[in-house]
Amino acid sequence: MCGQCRSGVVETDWYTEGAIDTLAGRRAARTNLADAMDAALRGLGLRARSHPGMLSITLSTASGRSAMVAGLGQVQSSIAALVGRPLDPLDESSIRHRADAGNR
Amino acid sequence: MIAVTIVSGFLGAGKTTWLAEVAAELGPEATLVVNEMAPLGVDDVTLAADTDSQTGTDTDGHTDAASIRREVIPITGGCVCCERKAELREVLISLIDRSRGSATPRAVIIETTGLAELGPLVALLSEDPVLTRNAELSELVVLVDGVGGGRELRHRPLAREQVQRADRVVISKADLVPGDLIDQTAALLRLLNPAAIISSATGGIESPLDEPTPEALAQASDVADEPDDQASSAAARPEVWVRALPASLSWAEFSLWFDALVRAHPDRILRSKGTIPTPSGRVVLQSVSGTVPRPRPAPPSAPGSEGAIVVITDGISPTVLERSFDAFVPSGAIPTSHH
Repeated sequence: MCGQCRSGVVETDWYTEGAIDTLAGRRAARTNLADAMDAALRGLGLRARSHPGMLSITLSTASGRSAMVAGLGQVQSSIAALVGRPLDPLDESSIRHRADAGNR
Repeated sequence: MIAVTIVSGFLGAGKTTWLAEVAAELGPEATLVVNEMAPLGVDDVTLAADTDSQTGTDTDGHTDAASIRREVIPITGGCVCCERKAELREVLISLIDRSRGSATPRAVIIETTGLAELGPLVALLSEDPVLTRNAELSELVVLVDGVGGGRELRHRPLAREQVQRADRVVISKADLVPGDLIDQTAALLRLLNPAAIISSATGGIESPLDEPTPEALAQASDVADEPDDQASSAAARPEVWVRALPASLSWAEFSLWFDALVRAHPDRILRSKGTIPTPSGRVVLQSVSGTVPRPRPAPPSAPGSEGAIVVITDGISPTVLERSFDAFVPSGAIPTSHH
């Protein structure tokens, strides 16, 4: 058993139900989630990255603080750990930031 | 003559799951009337598919009796207790017409929305001149969520009112909570409705419950006597937001937005339900007060490749949800080629 199989951060959540259940499908799902997080969380000053071979997504602040996100279920708690509050998609400034980022 | 069973319960209590199980045991002549707040139905498709999945052919290749597709009549876009009351009356009268000449009453099961007031519904059956002679109310079953039901009974007067009118109360999702919590909920239900039969259910399969002990009743009495005045206006005017979703929707963008939404507002996003396009095909996605159960593959009978989501909120304007969705889920924009 290699380190990745044993990895404590591997867990499934409801997002994975929509992924194609193959290695490539799961990898694509993770990359898509990282891209979606990267676009949605710019307003909070966060970047999200997932490299091929990684089983998780790295979420980081501009100053370099980072958190490993294993799945959708950990996204909100990781955001809160890095910036002090989770993402509220109904918050006016969050909506404005995201809309502006989308228009750029 | 028709024999009407009303199945009710607060948003996300487990009505459809329970009903799918019960419907499988009924004869094929029983009709389901499924009411939904939203202008488009999810439950009717689910129930029709669930009923189909119980069917099949025996080893001799004969189709068994249950394989006749059950009739599921959707009434959407409002509650049958108010806005859609006239439509329910018409449906029931047409069923009465069709049952004429039959020796036994035709079984009709009405699944209400989670926000239905049962008083006007019972009044319709007992006061309408045609229905009072041709329809009998055989049972009023109310489902209570085993996980969050106790909280709803404390904070939502509507949930109490539903329980108080029930002939039978079923505590759902019994496998998800410890037994003592089920006993606490049962004691509270017993105080609210001394006459009802109370049972618990897992995935729609019921099992009887012992009568609550005097100690459990004493504990529950604090809650039963304390209707939450603050909450009496809550959910009085729930808002419904409906959004069509294109086949090209990004499942990642949508999931990220939806997860953040239900986690950030567990008390105000009362319920959501929808059919969502994903890379692995369409899934039925739901949420109940901040919890998102594992999505199931959408029934193949649902037409098209697009999807839709219905969100019922307590005081969140549909306009705000729309703007949030448009900002966070740009892939959810419907192509405007028809303009």
